[in-house]
Formats: sequence, structure tokens, C-alpha cells
Amino acid sequence: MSASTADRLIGLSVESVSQFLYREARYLDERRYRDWLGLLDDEVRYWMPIRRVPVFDTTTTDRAIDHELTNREQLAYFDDDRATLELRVNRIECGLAWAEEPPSMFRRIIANIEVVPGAEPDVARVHSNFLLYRSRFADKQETLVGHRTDLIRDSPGGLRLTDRTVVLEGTVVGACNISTFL
Amino acid sequence: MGAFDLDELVPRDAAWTSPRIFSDRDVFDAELERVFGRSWLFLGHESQAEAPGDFFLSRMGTESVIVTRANDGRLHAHLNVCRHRGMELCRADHGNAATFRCPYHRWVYGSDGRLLGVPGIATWYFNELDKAEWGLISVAQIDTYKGLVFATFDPDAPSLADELGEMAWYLDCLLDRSPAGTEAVGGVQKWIVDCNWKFPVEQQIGDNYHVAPTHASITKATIGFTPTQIDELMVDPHEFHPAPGTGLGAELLSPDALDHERMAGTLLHWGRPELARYLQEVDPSVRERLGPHRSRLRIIHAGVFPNLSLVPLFWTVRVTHPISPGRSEIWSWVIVERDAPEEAKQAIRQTYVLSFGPGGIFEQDDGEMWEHITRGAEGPQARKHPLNLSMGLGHDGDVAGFPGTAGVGATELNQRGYYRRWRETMAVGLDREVPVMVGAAP
Repeated sequence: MSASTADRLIGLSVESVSQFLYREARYLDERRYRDWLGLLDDEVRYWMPIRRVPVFDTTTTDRAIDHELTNREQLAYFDDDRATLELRVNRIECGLAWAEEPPSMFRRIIANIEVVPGAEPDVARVHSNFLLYRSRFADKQETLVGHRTDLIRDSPGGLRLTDRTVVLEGTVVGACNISTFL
Repeated sequence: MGAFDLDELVPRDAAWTSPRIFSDRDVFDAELERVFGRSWLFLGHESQAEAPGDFFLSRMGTESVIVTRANDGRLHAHLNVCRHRGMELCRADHGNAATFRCPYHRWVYGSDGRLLGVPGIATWYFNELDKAEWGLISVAQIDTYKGLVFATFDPDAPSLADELGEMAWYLDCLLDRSPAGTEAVGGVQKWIVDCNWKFPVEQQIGDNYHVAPTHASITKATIGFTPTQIDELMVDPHEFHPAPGTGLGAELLSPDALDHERMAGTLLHWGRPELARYLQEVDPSVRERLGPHRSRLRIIHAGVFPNLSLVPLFWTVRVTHPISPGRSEIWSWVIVERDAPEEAKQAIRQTYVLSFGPGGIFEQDDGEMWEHITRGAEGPQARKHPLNLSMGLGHDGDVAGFPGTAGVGATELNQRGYYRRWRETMAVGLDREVPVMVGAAP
């Protein structure tokens, strides 16, 4: 089942962008990975840097989160383009990817959505927070919490995710794997 | 000895292991002292601390250590504990600092571990405190092997070179491909796996048997093929056991194999021609450095007792830190040649990130296995019954030109070597305690 034309979200209003992010989260919660891929720009970049505690410069008041993150030329937890995201989806769907076989029960809570107009009129910078709850078998329940900075494009076919930075709140990933998308 | 009998845990030939070595608290506590208190442990890559004052936090067993490059140019490693009241001294993961100042009472230490400053030393300590006696607790020995930094708390441990033995010859396939040496790509992946710390290590030291079934999704999703055996997947697979507690699994390619075949199987390029191009360019020089035998090796996985693993095919070095019997933290680095072009370094980094680490399409499924075999080892009834480790027992031999014992195809040769080494290390009773050291290393 793919998103029908009637469902197409247009425009970079807070309302429209929020609906886009909720829909994206629902597709992932419902394991509708093909529909999720449909929400991505062909040029999409999906990136989750590593976070660590640096020595903050005590001569300034600058405590920006950016100082804690690896840059795009350094190591990351995810660094994907459309081709590798499709490979990941193919893998999940092939029935032999044991981290998702049987499938995990995921539920995402997306909140604190803030839409900032970008330099280009058809692209907005969007901040959001997330909580990902995962349940797997009787004894495995875990939660990942973090925030995202997205670039969302208002394209003729509807809104599309063109760039996503996912930052977890922590320096150690509290899960044996991240077998889904955030 | 603790509340266990080693003969009931791992027999002398290590043809089985008791599940208790993955779940017993007594065994775990003994491991912290006997294994992690005495072995050479991997701390990181030299490139993480190159300039005087550079430091990074690492871990030895369950304990935080500060690894520094002091003004004398030497590497040091100290327990991250202030000698006054035991506060965690360094609270940043990495950086550059001339001194380390405890936030609790502001005792100040140098990169070399010496105690430099004590507030009120004249007024409140009446100058009776001898700073020379209260430096940081340093490791007993620290050494490097071609960029990899190791340390041990045991002053009587054999040298790192003796410890690695013939394994060094194989490690050079990743570490000595270029006269420029290697560097770590910035950042260390860290993630929690609710598994015993030995499970990732035993797999990466010798288990090519798991590759086809555990990672079947990779071939299925990329080329629509589901191999059922490693010989459907690999070219002439071998396991080598070069020194006690070390091992590697490699494909033995033809003598005219090229570097892009050695360092990246065609399936594993993930469509990155710039990587193949670089490897083709360096093939003649790498071949000359490694010689005719090692030029045939495509090393898939490797390990060094107690908790270092390598996956050279994905340019990664990692450790599994113990937290508790059923909980571990994996740290993973990517190692590249310093003189590789930027586009090749980026291709290696991206190929690694797609494949390994908590988001990697290989390692996601490994994590699933490591956690669930640990749950199995915790069962009160299951713990009474041994887990099999007999594959290939008595069928190993030699391969001319390659040091160590070897097995063809799938064999648990290296896992048995690992657990024999574990048994020997655990058998050295508490009658040989590591001496308590006071003050900084000389």
C-alpha cells in the first residue's frame, strides 16, 4: 500500500511538516519500509554521528552540541544515501535478517517539531525530538532518545526528506543494534 | 581458587565449554583479576594521541584509564582515579590538556601521572605530603605494535612482542601495508550488548562457520543467493592459530591475487569503485611489503586474547569490554593507511559503517546472536550442560609458509586455542597476585 495522491502533503507549514514526520514515523512503526522509502528524496543523506565528551573551552560560554559530534568525514553510526538505505530495506524484508526476524515491535514518539525557513524557498530546516521504544521477545525492551535536524523539500510529488542528522542523547548506544531508522 | 573448578568449566582440550563461564558471577569476578589484571589489553590507536598533551579515555577491564602523550613524547596510561579521595579525574572522552585537575579538591596531575599540585599543601598538609608518592596509578607496561596501543597492569607479563608472537606477521596484513603506517578514522563507535564479553571475541577469532547462516541476508538482499556453507561463499577458507590465544580466518587466494581482492571481496565493495581503484594502485607495493604468502591472504576475522578483535576485510579493530557477566560494551575503530587518498579513506569509512557497528548490516545480526546465546547460558538447567566446541578437533595441520597451526574450511581450532589460553590464565591462582604499585611508573 503506497501513499495515495490524496495523501500528498504540500507546503512547508508547521502543520504540513508535522503531518509528514508523523506519517513517516507511522510507516516505520508499521514496517511499511517501501512506503517510507517513498518519502525520501533521491539525493537523501541519512547520517548519525558519534557523540563524545570533549574538553570544552572554559574561556567561552560556548557549550554547543556540535563540539560533541564527529564530522561528516569521520566515523558515524549511520552514513547512508538512497542506494544503501534501499539495501538496508531489502535486507530487512528478505526474511533472513535475524535482528528483525521476527520483527521488533517499534513505536516512535515524535515531538518538539520546529520548522525553520531555509536559504532555498522550497526547503525547510526541521528540528524534532524522538523517543523510539523497542520490544523484542519477552525480556528485551529498550528506549532510544535523541533529536534530529532534517532538510525537508517541498517537491511537486509532496514533501520529501532530503537530509537527516540523527543525534542520540548519550556517548554509548544503549542497544546491541539499531535495526531500523530514526 | 574461587568457587569453581576449571575442569568443570573448560577441559584441557577445550572441546566444550560450560555455559557457566558466560554467566557465573564468581567466574566473572575472577576474570577481572586474573585475565584483565594481567593481560595485555588494547587501548586505542596511537593517532588518537599524537601531540604532547593529547589524551583519550580508554578502558582496561571495567576500569577507566587515561591514555596520554606526555611532553617527553611517550605514551602513558593511568587509572582515571584521583589519589586523594578517588574521584574520577578526567571527565572528557578526548582532547588536549597540559594537566588533569580533579574537580573535587583540585589536586593536579601531569600527563605523565605525576602529582603536581595540592591546594593547601603548606597550610593544611604542613608540607608533610610527599607528592612523589601520590602520583596516578599507572599501568605496569605500555607498548605499541604498528600503531596499536596496548598496556598491562602486570609488571611480570612477557613483552607485547612475545605475547603477539607469530600473530604479528598476520596483523601486518592490515597494519603494515604502507611505509606511512596507519591512522584511526576520527571517532570510536561504542555500544552496549547484553552478552558475555567472550562471545564476540570467540566469534571473531575463529568462527567462519557462522558467516553463511548468520549473515545470509547480505547475499540474499544483494545477489539473491542464500549460501548454506562457507565454501559456497568463500575461496579456500582457512583458520590459522599462530600463537596461544590468537587466531584468524582467511581465504587463501591464488598467488596472483590483487590487493582489491585481498582487502575487499567484490560483493563487499558496496559500489565504491574509488576503493577498488586505490587498492589496484597500491597492489605492487603492498605485495612487495607482504611477500608472496601473505599476498594470498584475504583475512576475514581475527582476534587476540583476551578481548581484541579485528575484521581486516572491513578495516576495523575492536574490543569487547566486560561490564557484568551478561553485559558488555564494544568499542570499534576504523584503521586506514595514512597515505591513502582521501576518497579511498572515505570509501573505507562508509563501507565499514554500512557493514559493522550497531547499525551495520552484518553486525546487527551478530548482536542478536550474542545476546540470545547469553540468555541461554543463564538458564539454571541449561547451565548444567556443556556447549560443543569440537569442530575439526584433531584434524588441524600446517600450511607451508604460514606460521602456526592451520585448519581448512570451518574448524573451531582458534576458539579452542582461545579457551585453552583462558583456562591457563584463570588457572594461575590468586597466589600470584599482581603486585600493588604506588605512584607513577618510572
